[in-house]
Amino acid sequence: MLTLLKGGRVVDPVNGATAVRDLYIRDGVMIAGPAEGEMPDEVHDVTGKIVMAGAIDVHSHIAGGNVTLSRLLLPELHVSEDPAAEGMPFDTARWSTYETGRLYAEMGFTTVIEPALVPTNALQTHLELADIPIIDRGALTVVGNDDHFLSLLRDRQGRDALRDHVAYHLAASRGLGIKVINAGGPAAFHSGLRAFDLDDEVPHYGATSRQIVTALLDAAADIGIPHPLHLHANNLAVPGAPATIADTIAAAEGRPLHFAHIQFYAYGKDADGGMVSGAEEIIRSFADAPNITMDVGQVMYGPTVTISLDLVKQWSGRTFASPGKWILQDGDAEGGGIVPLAYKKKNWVNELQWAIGMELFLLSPDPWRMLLTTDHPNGGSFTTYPKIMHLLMDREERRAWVEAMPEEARNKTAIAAIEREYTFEELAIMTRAGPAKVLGLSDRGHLGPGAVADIAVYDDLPDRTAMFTSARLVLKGGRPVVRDGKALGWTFGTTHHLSPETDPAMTRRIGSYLEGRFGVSPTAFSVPDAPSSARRTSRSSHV
Amino acid sequence: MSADTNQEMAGLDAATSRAVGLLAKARLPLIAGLGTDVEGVRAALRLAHRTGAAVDHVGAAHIAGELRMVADAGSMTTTLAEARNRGDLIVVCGEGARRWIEETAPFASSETPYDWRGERTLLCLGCTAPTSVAAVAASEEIAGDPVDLLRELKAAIGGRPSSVVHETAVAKLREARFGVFVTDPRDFDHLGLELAQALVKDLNETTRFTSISVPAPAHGRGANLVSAWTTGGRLRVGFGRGFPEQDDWRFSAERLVADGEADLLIWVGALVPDLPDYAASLPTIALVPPGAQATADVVIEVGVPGIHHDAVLTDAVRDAFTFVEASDIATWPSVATVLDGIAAALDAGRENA
Repeated sequence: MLTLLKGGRVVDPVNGATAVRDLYIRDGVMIAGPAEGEMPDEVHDVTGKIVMAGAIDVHSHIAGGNVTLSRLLLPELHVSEDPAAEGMPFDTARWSTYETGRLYAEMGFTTVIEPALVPTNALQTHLELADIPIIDRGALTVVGNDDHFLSLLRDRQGRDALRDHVAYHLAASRGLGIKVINAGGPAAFHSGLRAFDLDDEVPHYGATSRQIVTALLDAAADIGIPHPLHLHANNLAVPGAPATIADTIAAAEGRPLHFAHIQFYAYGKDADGGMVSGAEEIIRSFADAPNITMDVGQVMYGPTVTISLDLVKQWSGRTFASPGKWILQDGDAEGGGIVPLAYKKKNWVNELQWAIGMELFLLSPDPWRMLLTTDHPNGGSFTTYPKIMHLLMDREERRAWVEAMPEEARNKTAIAAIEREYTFEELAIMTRAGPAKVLGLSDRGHLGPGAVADIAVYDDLPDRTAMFTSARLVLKGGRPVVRDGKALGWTFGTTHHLSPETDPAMTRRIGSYLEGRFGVSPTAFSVPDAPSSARRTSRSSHV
Repeated sequence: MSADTNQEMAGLDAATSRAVGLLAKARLPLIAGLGTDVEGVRAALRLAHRTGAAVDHVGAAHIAGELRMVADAGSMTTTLAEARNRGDLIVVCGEGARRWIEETAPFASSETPYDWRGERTLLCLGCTAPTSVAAVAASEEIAGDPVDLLRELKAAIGGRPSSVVHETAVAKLREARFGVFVTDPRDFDHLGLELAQALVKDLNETTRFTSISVPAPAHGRGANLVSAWTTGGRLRVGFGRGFPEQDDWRFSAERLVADGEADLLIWVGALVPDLPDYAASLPTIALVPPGAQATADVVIEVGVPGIHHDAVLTDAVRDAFTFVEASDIATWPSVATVLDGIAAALDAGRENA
């Protein structure tokens, strides 16, 4: 099947300058052009439209036990009130997996990564991911806080044992990469600690956060995981955290490391210890470290809920819960903290958080390394992405927001002085090519030959919010899935994961540990075959 | 396909046709029981969307007590493994919790990966001490209504006046390093459960406390979780307006039947074979395990998930989703197959009309 996308203005910086050109797809994959004399079976005329690869989200809480616990905590946040479209059950069911897939697709997003795949509850995450229609999915396996790992570290079992432990959980949970959350912090919280810094020790294990992060950087390299270690650092939302980030960057010693939702760490301190923007300090550390990638975690106004496995942070954040109810679950390793919040335009701290996020985007020297997220739903819903793109591409739009800021917030940030506007090319890198590169998904994020034909087509509207909210056309694997901003029906993508090599001795060892700890066989934690697509690590030949 | 299987398939087709005939006449179908695996719950929700049905699960206390408490006030909970391994004080709140601990023996092992835990202390509110707990250093029983006792303990912990002061119990609560409350939602209403959670939260101001609850029957936690991610909300849910609406009172199976609102029952009984008494008062399609003696207008025998076919269920040990391989593969159709078959036949009927 040959498909022609005709006459669009193609923004694909990986494969050359922006230009009006035709794109050809054969059986769902981009090709250079048709055979001589070959006529396309299908033609989409996109003359005058902007054409980009489908967008990719590296960090969005879309599935898993804690997301569903949030659904149970906050029925009032998502009351359904519209009938479903014909043939699309649950598409208007607010905050359902079905609505999530539809809304992402209608914005032109075609791959989304859930960043908190908990090994002992991996199956629920995969069940929910499988129920998110249209888009492709993946998830990052959470490691580094469980008793088995910390015991290996305490007992100095060595680099290979730690690698094998991580590989086991990555394989068993079907993750696409690994993530660590406030390394050691949740384990310390179980033992009664209420704060946890880079060089604090986890009680009973004698391991520091720094040692855990370093061990996981080694494990990621030794396994050959394409995605850098995905780090939820210490001291989230603590003024002064930019110093923690600088220390952690130094600890990485040049190895690839991804910092999640960096906005929540970009809080400096003024002379009185009050909160000011720390964006410039973060950017100074970031600019000089080409091994470092980050996603922003932009704050946008409105009611939302924070979902995090960082029990230390969520315990301290409970006093801000709005409405005044929250969940804290002590899990088998991390667990989950769920605290509803309302970011308000009249609250100077929230205003400052918004401005700091904007500063990070606009001061970043490299769109390949500073990626767009809201840490959905923690900073705001992913449905605010079009508005964020608008604010980044249009300084007049931004000026209106900055001028509305209370004086108290405006004096604590440099946002008002920044004139920069993102270009389409920078936007395409930040939301397509950059995320694909950092995730190791080389077959997407661009439109060169061999890429999957995940394509988003937009009207070139001055109102960028409207433009990016409703894609004119979205192709998933070459098939139209959205037209005129509306999903066309339910199709199901795949959940991408790695299949790293595992060590049989470690598999036996962990099996017996799990039986002792849980009283069930390790198969109780397994994820059966589901719509999924095994991808390669750099060290494994099999998939 | 064997001759037996062919015969079963023909029987299933005939039963499906009769079920479709009943569904076509129904104004408000009710899908209840819902004792089935993840695929079965998914199919039930699809059929409910297709027919405007209401959906309820047999685990009423889990829904109207435990999950209502979560939505009203939030909670502090842990996993059974953490409770067993880390908990140094087990607070048994009431007779249901005691009975569950006795019957399923979750604390029967003294071993733990956390070698610093030491022995356990038991505090039993309104019940006797369960005998199945290992490594018990000390045990205290306080007679009375568990709700009253929780209220009195909460007053004492918060430094507020109370007519009764349980000095040794309060001391035990204060000394614990990782205390675990155990409740059976069937013993409390949602306010009683909220009270227990409020005490747990207060105790966390100075030490670590958390809770577990007796698992809901018939895959109840799993059914509610599937509903939450599929419809946005837990059970009970109705689709009469073309989109899901969560409402514990409106979509209660018992109420819908008692008030004459529901006019057809689809009893999903793969894990709850006994039909409820209210089934006698309206036309009923019963999906029950092989050999169950069900009296209904249409009876369809279905496989038991995890026994006759592979299934994903919340398991009884962890109360979390687990893939269970069939132990005795058989040809009875799954709940999902039957319900999807009914939906397909409805669609075919509409196309032919």
